[in-house]
Amino acid sequence: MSLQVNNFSLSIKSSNRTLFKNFNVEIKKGQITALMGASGSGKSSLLNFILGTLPQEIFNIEGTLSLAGASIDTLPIEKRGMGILFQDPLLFPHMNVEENLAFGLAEHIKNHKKRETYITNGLAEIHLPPAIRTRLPHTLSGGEQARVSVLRTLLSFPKVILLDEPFSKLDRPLCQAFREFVYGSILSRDIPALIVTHDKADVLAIPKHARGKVITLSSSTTSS
Amino acid sequence: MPPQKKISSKRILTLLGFFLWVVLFFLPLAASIIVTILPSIGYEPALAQYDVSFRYWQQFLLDPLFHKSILKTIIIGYTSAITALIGAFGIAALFYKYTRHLIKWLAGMLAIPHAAFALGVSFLLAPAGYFVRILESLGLSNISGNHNPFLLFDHLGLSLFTVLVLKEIPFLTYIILGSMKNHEIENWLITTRSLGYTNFAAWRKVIIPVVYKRIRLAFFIVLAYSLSVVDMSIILGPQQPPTLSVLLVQFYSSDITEMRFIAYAGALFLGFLIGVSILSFWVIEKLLSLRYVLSLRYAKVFSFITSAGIMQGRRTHWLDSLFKWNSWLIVFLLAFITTLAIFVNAVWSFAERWRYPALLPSSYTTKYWNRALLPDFEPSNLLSFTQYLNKDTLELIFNAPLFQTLCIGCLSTLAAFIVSIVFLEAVRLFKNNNLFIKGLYSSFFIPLIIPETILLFGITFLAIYMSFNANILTLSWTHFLYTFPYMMLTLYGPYKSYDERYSIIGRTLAKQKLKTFLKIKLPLLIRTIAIALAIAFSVSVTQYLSTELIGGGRIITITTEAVNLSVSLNRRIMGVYAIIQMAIPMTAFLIVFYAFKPLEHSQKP
Repeated sequence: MSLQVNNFSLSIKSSNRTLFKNFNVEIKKGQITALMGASGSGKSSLLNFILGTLPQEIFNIEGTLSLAGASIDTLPIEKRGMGILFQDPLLFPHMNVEENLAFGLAEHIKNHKKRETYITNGLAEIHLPPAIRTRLPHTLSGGEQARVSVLRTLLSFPKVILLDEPFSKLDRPLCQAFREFVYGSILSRDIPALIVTHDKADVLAIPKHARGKVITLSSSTTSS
Repeated sequence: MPPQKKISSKRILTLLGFFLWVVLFFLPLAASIIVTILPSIGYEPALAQYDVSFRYWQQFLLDPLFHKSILKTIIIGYTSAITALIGAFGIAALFYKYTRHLIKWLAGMLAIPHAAFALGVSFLLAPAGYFVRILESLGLSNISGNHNPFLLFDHLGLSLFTVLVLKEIPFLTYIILGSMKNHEIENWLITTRSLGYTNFAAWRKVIIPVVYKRIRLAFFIVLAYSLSVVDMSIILGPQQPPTLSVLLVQFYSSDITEMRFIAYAGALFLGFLIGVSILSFWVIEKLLSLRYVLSLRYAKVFSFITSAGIMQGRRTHWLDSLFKWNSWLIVFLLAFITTLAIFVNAVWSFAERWRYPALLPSSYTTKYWNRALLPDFEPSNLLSFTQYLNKDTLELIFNAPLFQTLCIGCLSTLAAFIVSIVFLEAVRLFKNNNLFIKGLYSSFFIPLIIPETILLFGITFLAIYMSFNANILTLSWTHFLYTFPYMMLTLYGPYKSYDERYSIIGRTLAKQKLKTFLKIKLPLLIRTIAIALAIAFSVSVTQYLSTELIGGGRIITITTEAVNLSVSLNRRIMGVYAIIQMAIPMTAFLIVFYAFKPLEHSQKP
């Protein structure tokens, strides 16, 4: 299974500025592809194209997106099977840890006991004690919040993982350990992943055998 | 000799702000509440009444007329405020991607005064109104007529409920979108949807619980308004008995002293009712947020709407479909009823002959416009008006409702703007976290929470006692009590999120605080300021009860004329006043949008 972006062209309607022209990329399963570039180079636009959240009233959008050979570019975001991690953990503040995780856990697991087991095992996988289940997000440390956020995404069994500068707000000592944890968790699922970053260290931390393409976008038009 | 301490701008602003608060707010509000309490217990020295007792309270609480009225008030007030909140969230969920366009549309909707909107809708719902005419023209005459339960003054209050919902939705949507500029919310939405939830499920389960806390105050204002509305209720609310505030105004206007004292007791009861309503919503919200700490399992009953299906990870729920279709229905009704109401208002204002059941008049005239603009002016043709410009005609112009409306609107808006800027600058100096400032900020909304009847009965008493009544300055100040909180509500968020580093850079370059403020800060905030000015002006134009009571019949505005004429059932004149009422704030909106546009673009960093 791989995610393919084909002939992606993007320009801003008001200024006619072209950001991408016939851009192609394949994100293979079991690999983490990296997208690098300075601010304004179009990293976020490509990510939004994959998510399906590019505002059509601002951009002229062309190109197709397919997952495992099937076209997904007309599907709404909730039907695309994407899991996304931002630089902030974005745990829902009105739900406790258990509810945040249950909220993410795939719907097809209907049995109540099975759902419990997934959450318990998941917490063990991210090295958090069971007692944390009833705590509200604001009572957790930054590292704990980040790990719960990763687990919530993984429990939804995404077909692709997208990482939008996920380590940029973490302290240096915590950052390296968290990178290893996130990459390890993604690779164990054997799914395609795309990381958007401006930090080379994020790319270098990807295990060599799993490091996919490293695409560097410039502020001028990107094409391939 | 010790060096003399220089008084800091912080201290000057604090003192100035506190002084303004005491003089313009605290003293009059406290006094008006006291002078409402005293007559309610039978004590009014002006009428030589010294017999202190709870007789009037007893009469009020035991009268079945009031029981029915209170019940109607509670049902209409609660259901309309909650429906408006759901509708506002629904519209935000449908169109949040087009916020820029939506804000313009909402600004136009906000410009329509409550009374004008109600008058427009009353033309649609009247027994020979436009809806019935449409049904007749479609050959569905057996559905129309007196059998239709959804007509003007219906005893269930359905027409009042409808206009309250449709009128409050734009305000709440505006506040919701204003509180959502935060990038975090956008990312929450993307995260939730990427987990497989639909747009409406994401709003119901994640965005609404988070955003509600930010717009809570606006909801409380809408709730208080819905429970105490006077003008809309007079125009199309239920009768025999009417809603509580209208009944109280009727009692207050009576010549019988006893009835007036009962009105005072009733006004305080209405204040208590609003206080309890707000408190109960607040308590439910707190129980929900504390349910983990206190293990309040039963609190889940209240959270059903927002948390149904969370533990099962249900991506779709019937509540989401209901929410979605309900939102589309509200959008349709809002667009349809508003457009039709404005259209029918305009047509009536020019109608000479319009027989039932024709859809349009058979002949048109401008005489009702002439009569409305200058009631005592002859000849009726306005074109010859310029030949008659002399002392008498100028006096006529000054006393004309249109001039009075503009004059009071400008004064109260200007005062609200100045006081808001002084307060917001003080907030900046205190870095937003001073408890005193927070308390002060909350107090500004008291006039919107306390029912008009309490506040205005008290202020009227004081104004008459001090011979300040029927005075344009007193009336402008009374309007200020209402324009100021709305201006604060509009300005506070954007002013707080203004990046102070622009001013710091400005000061290093311009070396002057005032120049930096005028050249950097004001232009950057000009769009918000423009909208705030227009909203405040619109609020002033809308004021009915305050103008009626403080003006004492000697100061007449477009709104007081429009509402009072609604009883006369002269649809042509009512149409003229409703259109003028809409046109004034709408013009204010257009002027501020277009006057400040070049400044906004040229000053953008």
